Amino acid sequence: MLGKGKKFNKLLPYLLVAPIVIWILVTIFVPLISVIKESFYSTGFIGTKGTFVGLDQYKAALTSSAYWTAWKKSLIWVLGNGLTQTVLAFSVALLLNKASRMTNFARNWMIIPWIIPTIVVAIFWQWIFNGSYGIFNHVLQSLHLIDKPINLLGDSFWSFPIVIFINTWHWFPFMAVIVLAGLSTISQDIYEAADVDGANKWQQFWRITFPSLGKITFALGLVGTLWSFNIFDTIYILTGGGPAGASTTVPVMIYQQAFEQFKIGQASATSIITAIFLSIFAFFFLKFAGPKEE
Amino acid sequence: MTVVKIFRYIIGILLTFLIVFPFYWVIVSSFKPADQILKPDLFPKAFTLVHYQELIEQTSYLTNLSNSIIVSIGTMAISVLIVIPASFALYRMKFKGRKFVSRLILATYVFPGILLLVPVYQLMADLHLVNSLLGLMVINVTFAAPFSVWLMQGFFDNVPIALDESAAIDGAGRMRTLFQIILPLIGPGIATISIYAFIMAWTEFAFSSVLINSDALRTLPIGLNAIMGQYTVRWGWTTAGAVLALLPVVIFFAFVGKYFVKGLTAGAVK
Amino acid sequence: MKSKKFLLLIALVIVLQTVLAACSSNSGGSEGGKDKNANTGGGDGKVTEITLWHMEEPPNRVKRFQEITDAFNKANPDIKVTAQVQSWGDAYSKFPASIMSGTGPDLLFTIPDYTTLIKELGVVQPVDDIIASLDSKHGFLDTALEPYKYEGQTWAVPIFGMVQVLWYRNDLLQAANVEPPKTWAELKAAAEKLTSGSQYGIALPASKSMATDQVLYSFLVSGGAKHVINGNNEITFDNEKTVAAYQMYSDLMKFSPPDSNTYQWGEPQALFNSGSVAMAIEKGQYLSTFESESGRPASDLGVVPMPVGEGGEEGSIYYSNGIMVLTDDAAKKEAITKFFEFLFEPETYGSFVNAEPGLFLPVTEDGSKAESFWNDPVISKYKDQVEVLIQASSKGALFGFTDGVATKIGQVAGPNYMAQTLENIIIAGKSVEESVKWGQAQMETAVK
Repeated sequence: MLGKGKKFNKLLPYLLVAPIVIWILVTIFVPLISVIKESFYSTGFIGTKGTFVGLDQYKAALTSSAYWTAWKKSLIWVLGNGLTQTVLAFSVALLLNKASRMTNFARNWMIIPWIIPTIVVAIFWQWIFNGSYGIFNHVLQSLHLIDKPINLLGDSFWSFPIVIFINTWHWFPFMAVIVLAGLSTISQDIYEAADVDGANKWQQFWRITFPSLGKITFALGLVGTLWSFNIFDTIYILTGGGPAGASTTVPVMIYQQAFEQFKIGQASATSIITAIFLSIFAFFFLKFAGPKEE
Repeated sequence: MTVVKIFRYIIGILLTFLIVFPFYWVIVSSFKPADQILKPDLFPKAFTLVHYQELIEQTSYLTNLSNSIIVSIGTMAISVLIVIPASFALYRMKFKGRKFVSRLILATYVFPGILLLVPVYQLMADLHLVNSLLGLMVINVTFAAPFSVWLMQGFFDNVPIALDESAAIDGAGRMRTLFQIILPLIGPGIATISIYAFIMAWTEFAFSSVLINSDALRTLPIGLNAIMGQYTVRWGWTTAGAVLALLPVVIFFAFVGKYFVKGLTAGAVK
Repeated sequence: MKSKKFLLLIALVIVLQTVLAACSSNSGGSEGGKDKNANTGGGDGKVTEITLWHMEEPPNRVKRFQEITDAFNKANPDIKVTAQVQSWGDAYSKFPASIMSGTGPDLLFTIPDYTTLIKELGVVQPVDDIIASLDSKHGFLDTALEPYKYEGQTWAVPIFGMVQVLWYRNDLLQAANVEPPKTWAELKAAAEKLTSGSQYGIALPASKSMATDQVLYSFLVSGGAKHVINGNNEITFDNEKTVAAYQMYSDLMKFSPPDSNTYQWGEPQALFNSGSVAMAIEKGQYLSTFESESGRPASDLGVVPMPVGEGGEEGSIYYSNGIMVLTDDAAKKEAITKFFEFLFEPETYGSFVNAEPGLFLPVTEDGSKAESFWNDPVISKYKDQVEVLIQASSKGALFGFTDGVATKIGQVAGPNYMAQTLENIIIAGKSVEESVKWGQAQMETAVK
């Protein structure tokens, strides 16, 4: 390292990362300590005093069927979102990979579902899917596919898929931009050569496109999965976790434990266990699917 | 027109419809008078601005709007101030603990955030930041900064090390190098993370609800939720409220959108 | 390069401005009493500042409360009461957190079961003195006061009551030649007769929410099953009469629109006003918006008390909203006493209660007779309907407060176990007996 003051240069990186590190440590890890502490006490309603119960609440979480049912829902959530978002994102990206006035415009504006607040997203789709006045029902009825309006968000089978759809609508454009970015790095020459070799579009996609996007799919896979897993607002605003628990994923269940059943201690333990599971996932993902460099 | 081309057109139209229709439908509905709003007319038979009028006059929309703007700009600024130096160090320097920092950043995604609500409240109370816009900015930065650091990698990597080295030969210190050489070249990157932080702050709900007590300091999503809470069936207000809540950020995006997409693109590539 | 520098400068200026704005709003907006003993000097004396948090979000209620506090502040220049509107959704997370951090309010709106929860934090002040003095002047209704009295003291000042009744569309009933029902059997028959074409007989909520819990409870009361949990926190939910009530509710669902399981308070009212349903069981908020939202004359809005079940009794859900005092500062308590005295004066009280005419009912005897109450345009237009509401209040009850005060009622009400029991029947398709047994088990675990 060249420059004046060897000591300053040695300290410099630490000084530069200090603000963000301190920020994260103070605003996330300090509160986290509080959560860890609570997990060992049987505190009920927030602010009341609980008794020390050690690892009891951890045991309770691990043996509760409600918790594992929520995990099942969360896995469906993560996979459902991951798959639909990936399919839609790739479709959009492949379509827009040519330069033209239309695609330029689309490329800038298609991200619009992502920039609006989740509450507005919820209003949009509650309005469309409304069981009494929704336009979706009206269209189905005029096409004579159904004779009475159906209540999708309140249906014990359909509500979860619909919420997954709505969340996908909210997020896939963001993914599409990133995939599009990756696509733009693949030079056209490779495709032209493949054309000459007689490969069709499908083969080209799987042999050229997909592998070249390795780093991006890795990043999206890891961060996207974690982000997706922890989504709470969208589900809660749309269905409150219902009907009858149909859309109660792990974050929703934790919220209910804390603020509806008034069992803050138990909810804290459940959160910590969940965080541990997610960390294990991240660790293995990095190890086996990760790129070879940092 | 080959089959593939027709296929492309159809898919294109469907996707466009999928993205655009919800916007169209809510906007159109917000202009229908109360007794017509429940009818499925695709184009309003009667046109009225009464919902918007009532919202602006009877609710604190304008106050909420200015609060959202203040919080979003503040988040944007602070975020950039802490992310750029950290990214410079992470991507341009070798030091012990480099891995720790990037692991730390990843760790922020692992925890189901909602349970942090109450402990963060207590933390903010200790820092005397409850019921303040500054408190909102602080927590928004926490959520925007990690991803921003990740985004900056591509931009830093795009600036050739050769420039750093030649600057060093000329006798410039690391900081001079950052400010004079690198910063100007990563302009698009800065734009990208600024916009990202802005949008994150604009759309934040859970903490904005919990950390603010007085109506005068509420942000837009919370204000919208308040009028919706009791009136989920006043669809006129709800749809108009939704339009008013997204209008500012869409207008903002009309000006800066292409920088963001360009930046997201460039950042993602590396 | 030059334009970039210019932009940077502008950006810097904007940033500085916003940070400054944020800092000033920080000190200006935190009137919420960060320092519990804040006494800002004003003029020649100290001004005692009182923060009041209420959860009545509709703008008309916010406005009316503001008028009341403004009038009080004007008449008492050494006191400043500030009302801040909050959301019920935050009541179980933010409020306790803020109270424990010292940034909470001095006065907090409440309902009976919420009081039992906040009391656990050890901050609720007994208000027996205030009650005694107000009672002697204005006479509190027993049903309004009882739920806040336990452990030998009173924990909130009741401010207005709410009761459920059966609303019906006079025009639709007449067209179908149906008489307003007085019993469950008549109710079922009426609902059936009124369900034809795109019209439904009744709109009943079936979501997992307080709204559903409350309508269910009206059926439990009128079915003779009002004791759900007693003063020793013992659950007496599973019994024949409860099963009969749930059976009745689930039978009625046939005559309620298919998206009933997404309904809370607003949807049944919207359907009633638009004429899509002929009946609804709810509290008094139907009065003020009926004409404007339905386009029909006031005479089409009919109301009768909750129909009675076989082996049941007259009655429905009734409970009073109250205000808890959370500060123990002597100066503030004095100011608060003055505020309550002002509030309950008949001239003021009627106007306060009519922040939502018909929904909020007086809880004092002289309040029930006050001109300020009866002179309200909505109340005077619907005089007969209001009489029905007031009559019904005297026969009302609230679960958890029917047999002593169940201090753990919050654990049963919070997760909406009564509504969940209904979900088990309607959505999971279990039998009524099984579901009620399940509900009983859930409640027992919750209060352990």
